[in-house]
Amino acid sequence: MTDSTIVDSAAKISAAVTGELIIRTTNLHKTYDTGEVQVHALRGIDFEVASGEMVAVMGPSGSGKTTLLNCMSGIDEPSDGEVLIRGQALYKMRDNARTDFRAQNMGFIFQTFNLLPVLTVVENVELPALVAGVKPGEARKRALHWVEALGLADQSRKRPSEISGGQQQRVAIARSLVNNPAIIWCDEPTGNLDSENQNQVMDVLCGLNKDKGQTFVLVTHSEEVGERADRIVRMRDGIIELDCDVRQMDGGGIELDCDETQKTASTDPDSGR
Amino acid sequence: MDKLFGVPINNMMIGLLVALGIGAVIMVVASLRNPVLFKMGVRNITRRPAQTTLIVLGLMLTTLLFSSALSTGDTMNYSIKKSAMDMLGPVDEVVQARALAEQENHMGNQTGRAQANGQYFGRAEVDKISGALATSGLTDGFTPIVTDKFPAVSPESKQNLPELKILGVESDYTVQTAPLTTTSGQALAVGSLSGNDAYLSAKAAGKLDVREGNTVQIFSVSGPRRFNIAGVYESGGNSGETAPSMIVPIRTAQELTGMPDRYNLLLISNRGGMFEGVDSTDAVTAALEPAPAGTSLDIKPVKKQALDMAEQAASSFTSIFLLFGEFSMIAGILLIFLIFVMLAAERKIELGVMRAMGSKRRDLLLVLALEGIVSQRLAAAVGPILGAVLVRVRGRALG
Repeated sequence: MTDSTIVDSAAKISAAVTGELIIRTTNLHKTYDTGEVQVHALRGIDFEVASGEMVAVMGPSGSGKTTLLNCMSGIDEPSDGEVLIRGQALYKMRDNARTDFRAQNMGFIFQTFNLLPVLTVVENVELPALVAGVKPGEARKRALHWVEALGLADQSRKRPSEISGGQQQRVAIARSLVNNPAIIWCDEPTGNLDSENQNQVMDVLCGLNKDKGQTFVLVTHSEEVGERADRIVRMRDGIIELDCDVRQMDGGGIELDCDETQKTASTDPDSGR
Repeated sequence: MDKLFGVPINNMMIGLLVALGIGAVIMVVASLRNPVLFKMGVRNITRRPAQTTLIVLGLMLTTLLFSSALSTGDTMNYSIKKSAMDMLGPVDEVVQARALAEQENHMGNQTGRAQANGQYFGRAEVDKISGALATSGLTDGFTPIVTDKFPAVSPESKQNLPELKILGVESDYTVQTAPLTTTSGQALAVGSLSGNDAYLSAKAAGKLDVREGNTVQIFSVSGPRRFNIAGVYESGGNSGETAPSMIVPIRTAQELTGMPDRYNLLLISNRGGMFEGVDSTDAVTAALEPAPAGTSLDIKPVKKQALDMAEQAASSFTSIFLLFGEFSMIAGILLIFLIFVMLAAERKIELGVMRAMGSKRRDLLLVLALEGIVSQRLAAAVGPILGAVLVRVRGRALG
């Protein structure tokens, strides 16, 4: 991607939301070496997200959605390229510094909730605060606030196995919010939920996005979830195929304004490497 | 037992307590700083009962072996010391001719060669030693004896002993050493023995199949001589004697050895009890050193040597078992390490989630370490109790 493309893209994002550029990836590559076969999961991704934006990353299985999310969030180191979060190069940090940065700036919501089974609801929620260095009393206070805000006050002393899937995902949301992070990464946040719970969870996420101005990057297969985002990014074979702004229509329904931003630039798997 | 692997046990205990304390403080501080990590560690213990049981058993095996090795060492120490005490009674040191000491290196093994080797000494030497002891004020018992071994036969039972130890003692022998008592607890007085009377040890009486009122014939350098058995003693009269023995008046013994007015052993009892007396051994030895100078006498701290030997034997025994215990500990550590690796693999997703949320590697290690420490504390509490039970059961089994 050329500098002019980045500027254009940033301008487009700025038009969609009022925030500054919070996530920026440059020529992101990820190759998994499984011995005999090399799998190119990401093939030079250039991608920006503005602060306060809700972006849905969609695409078929194996297209690289989750890998992109993992690389952008600092969980999985890319093979090449750079990730800037709030202007800071994530992979130029040392491991502990990156971990601290992640604790301070990012929250995570997973498809399978991934709550820790030995901890109660409130303990699960306060854990990110504690590992971020918040004092135990303050961490508990914050956790109880979010547990209550997400309608889980009655469940706070229960273990994850004692509550429903929808409730577990709300616990996961509360956990992702307890440090008031700027970015929340969601990997198939509604993948394990029925449609009623899916809508409830999306209502919560959209409400937070609107009220708190937090940036959401959602990886999803669900068109319904994608349509509730500000922007849909479609991936295929490790590249971004389409980047569409979503406009909600007055009478219901949506309208997409799409750019084939990287299709040409990234067709060659070795481009930019 | 005071030392193990050459290190004083008390120092070792203090070191281990300090290590235990440091471990406990680290655990408490880490738990207070991050209570949720502590809860995770502790609750994970009950999450997988089978693995937890395996970990606790693995750890417990080591503490069980250690505690039983230590207590067995103590038992052995006690047994050897008790044997030494039974053998020596209140006698802490003996003085004997240097030639004998070099030849036999044990106070109870003199034979008929004594005379040939010039192992006897006279009253002058005895008085010299006695004077030195009186000046030191460190002893409460002192008696010269004559001891040698001769063949013996019972005319009634026709049983014989190739070597019967003869102890020729002064009339105050039991006052200076320990009372002679029969199996029924009756005290026997040496002063009441006439020239042809003797007290026979229960062991000798058993071997010769004789009892009070029978006779025993001794074949000494001065020819055969019959003795009336005036009593059979079960305890007391010890002068390092475990072999079958017979007590006769000292003049009689001197006649048997053909060495009138000569002695070949001095028994010394230090002030204090059976065990405490040993504490004065060095002082007594030092006090006597000028006395044997110019004589052919040596002082031997027999009780101290016996107690040191008991200590050394127990320590060696314990060390060997502790060595086995250490192998068990190493095997246990490997087992536990493997279990924790398996647990970590099983909890890969959980650990990954924790990392995603900002937990550092050390936080994850802390969770596993806390789990391990709590398991270890559990094993450390149960292991010694089981060790004590094991020792008690084994003690009963061994009588």
